[in-house]
Amino acid sequence: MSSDTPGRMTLRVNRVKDGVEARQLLAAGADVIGFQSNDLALFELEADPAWTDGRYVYAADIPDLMSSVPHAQSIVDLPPDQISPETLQTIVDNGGTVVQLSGHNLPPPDVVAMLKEAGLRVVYSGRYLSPGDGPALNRLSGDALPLLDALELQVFPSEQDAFARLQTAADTGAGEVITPDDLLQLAGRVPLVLGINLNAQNAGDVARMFAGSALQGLSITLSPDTHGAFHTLDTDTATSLLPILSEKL
Amino acid sequence: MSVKTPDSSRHVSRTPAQHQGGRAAPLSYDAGSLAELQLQAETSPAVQRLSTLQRAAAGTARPPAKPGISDDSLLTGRTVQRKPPDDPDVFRYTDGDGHVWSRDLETDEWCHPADSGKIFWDDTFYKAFMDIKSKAGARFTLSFVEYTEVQLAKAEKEELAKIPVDLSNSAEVGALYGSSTVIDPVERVAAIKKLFTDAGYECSATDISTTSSSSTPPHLFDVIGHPAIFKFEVHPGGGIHTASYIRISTNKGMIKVINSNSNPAYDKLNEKAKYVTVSI
Repeated sequence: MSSDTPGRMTLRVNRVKDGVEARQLLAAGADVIGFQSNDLALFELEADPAWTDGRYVYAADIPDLMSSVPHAQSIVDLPPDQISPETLQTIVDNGGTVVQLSGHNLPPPDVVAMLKEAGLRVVYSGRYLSPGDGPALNRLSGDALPLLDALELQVFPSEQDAFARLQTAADTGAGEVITPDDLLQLAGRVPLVLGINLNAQNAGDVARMFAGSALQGLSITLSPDTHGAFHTLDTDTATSLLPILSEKL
Repeated sequence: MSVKTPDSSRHVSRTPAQHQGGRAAPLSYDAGSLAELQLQAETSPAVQRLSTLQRAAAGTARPPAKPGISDDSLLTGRTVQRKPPDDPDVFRYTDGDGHVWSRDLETDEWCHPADSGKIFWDDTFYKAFMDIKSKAGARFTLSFVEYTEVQLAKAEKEELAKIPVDLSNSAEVGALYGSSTVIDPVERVAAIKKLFTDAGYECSATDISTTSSSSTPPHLFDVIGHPAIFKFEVHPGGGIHTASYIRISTNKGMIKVINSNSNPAYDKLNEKAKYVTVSI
């Protein structure tokens, strides 16, 4: 998904719960509002839901949610096993050009065919890097991701302070741990959005590290809960950090 | 619209997302689908637990036989009471004699639990269905049959995620470390890959970090298609964490298997992983 402002990185917020929250985040500087739909999780019929924080939205509410942010880009995260042509058509009818698919597995061929038929591209989300994943990172290519619009990676969610770890790796150079240069090289090959542990102390430094780079954007994942595979922020903290990021990017 | 009987792939052919915008259309079923669904519940190991619950609940829910009607007579043929359903969402009712009847959506007939080849919608499933329906309101557009199908698929997915390693079982996860204090990465990678390939999953080629700061670099590989696990790192030790470890990247975060007898000890640095500790 491209930013409206050429050369400026996109600020995306995932797992927005409703239109009120969406407008609050847009006012703070968000460029893209993400809603995560999963009816089976809401019906408590998902075998292993990624989240239990009540922030999923119903598929039936997608039109209202997308129309709640008419002047911004919205993106809906769909579970591949709940995708149907009707759902995709709803997204297209409401101006959507991209869907987000979370998880580490590729969508099955029938889902790819449905997406292609609907003319939608894909943001691959819900993937994360551990510090030692350099070899896998270096051979990662966009060719392996069908209908790729962007790849969203969480950077070191297994670290107490992922950004500090990334800075340390930058200082010590290439080695066992992924460095900022590794990420920027990947951004040169694949449209890349990064999620990292943002806070009031490091937001400016994070923006400075990536501003003007090939990185497509930064993402924030909303949740009151901690999650081993994501960096999460509550809505108020995200709202307070977005202006800092928006100014420096 | 036809609703598929759950098959081995457990693909749910009609999902809640497909029902948005209104009530589900009247359903028709593949021939024999209801009987097949019951058979599935009774024969699939993955859903055996549900099936047991279903039967147990059905057993407790069944009213005592009406005097003068033996169970044998109910089993000898179809005992069907025609009762046009006023509400298409009503699947069960109790008659004046205390008998509980279930509606067969294929034929719109009301059937006794003992009817051969018919599904008896027990209280466990039915009450859960009604609870969710009540909470989700108009957004819940699954029919009871679809709900049951998804419930069975859920049970099977839960079981599949535990194969070949149940991540909630520390003993199973710890066993991945092997039997040597210091890990031989070639041997461990081969053993772990075999576990997954035997279970039907594909594993990527092994990456050996060429830029590692340790003289004994980690070996990494991906597991393709597993619902919970996607990467292994097998480190023989000597790196930034000093000791041997196995890292498992899962959809809920990182798990590391470490050895309390490692010398020097594993250095956690500033990780916030889940640790499984073995003593070898």
